Amino acid sequence: MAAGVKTRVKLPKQVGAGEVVTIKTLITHRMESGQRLDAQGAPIPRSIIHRFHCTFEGETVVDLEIGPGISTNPFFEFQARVPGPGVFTFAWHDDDGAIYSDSRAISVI
Amino acid sequence: MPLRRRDVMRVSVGALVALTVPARAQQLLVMQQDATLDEVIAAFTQGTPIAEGGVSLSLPDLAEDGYRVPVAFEATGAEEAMLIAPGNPVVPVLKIRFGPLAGSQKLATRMRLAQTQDVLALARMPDGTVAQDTRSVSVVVGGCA
Repeated sequence: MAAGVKTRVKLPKQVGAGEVVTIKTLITHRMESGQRLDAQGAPIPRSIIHRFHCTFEGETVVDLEIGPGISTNPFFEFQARVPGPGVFTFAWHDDDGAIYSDSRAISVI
Repeated sequence: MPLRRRDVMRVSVGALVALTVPARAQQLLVMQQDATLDEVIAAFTQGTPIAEGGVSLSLPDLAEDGYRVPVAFEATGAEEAMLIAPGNPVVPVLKIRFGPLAGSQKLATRMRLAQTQDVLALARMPDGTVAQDTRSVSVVVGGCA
């Protein structure tokens, strides 16, 4: 597990039933592309977040397969429909096998 | 001609190979690191002809810093979408699958661009058609993708 990985998620706490919310997510990660060379000219091995999966109560919102072409500290903004009160779960899958996750509860007015 | 063991073996080995080849093609992930542009597009479209329209890609015309270029993408109704940078060392950038709870088929992120190029977005619509949009971006400082 890489050190100092922090996840950030921004979404409203409350929403009308069936409404659409905008979710912004960010994870601090170097996203080492595997293309760069170190001082000795040896390639630095790839180490990226290769998958991001957002679900709401077990149902997928978005599922992303990520390549090294995504910038350092991958940021994603997308929209989700909220059918009722529940919990959003976010999972970032690292190349080293670690899965960073975060969750946010949302209530319905 | 009597049926020889040798012939039976040949046929069964042939059948085995024939069975494994399409399976191999399935495994050929869209996000493969060393895939060429044509391979990436073919893996996504599965032979469906590409139509213009239905998907829109927003990128700046001029990117000063190729390490983080804001990109937004919208394809109303799409099931799956893909972001491709033909001028990057790794061509496939992002593959998006919209689930049943996606509020819209919109996504914004930041991407790396190694050089000036035409960025490509593909989207698979529920009726099976594939839509495409391209944006040409001038890159001042290339981001080593």
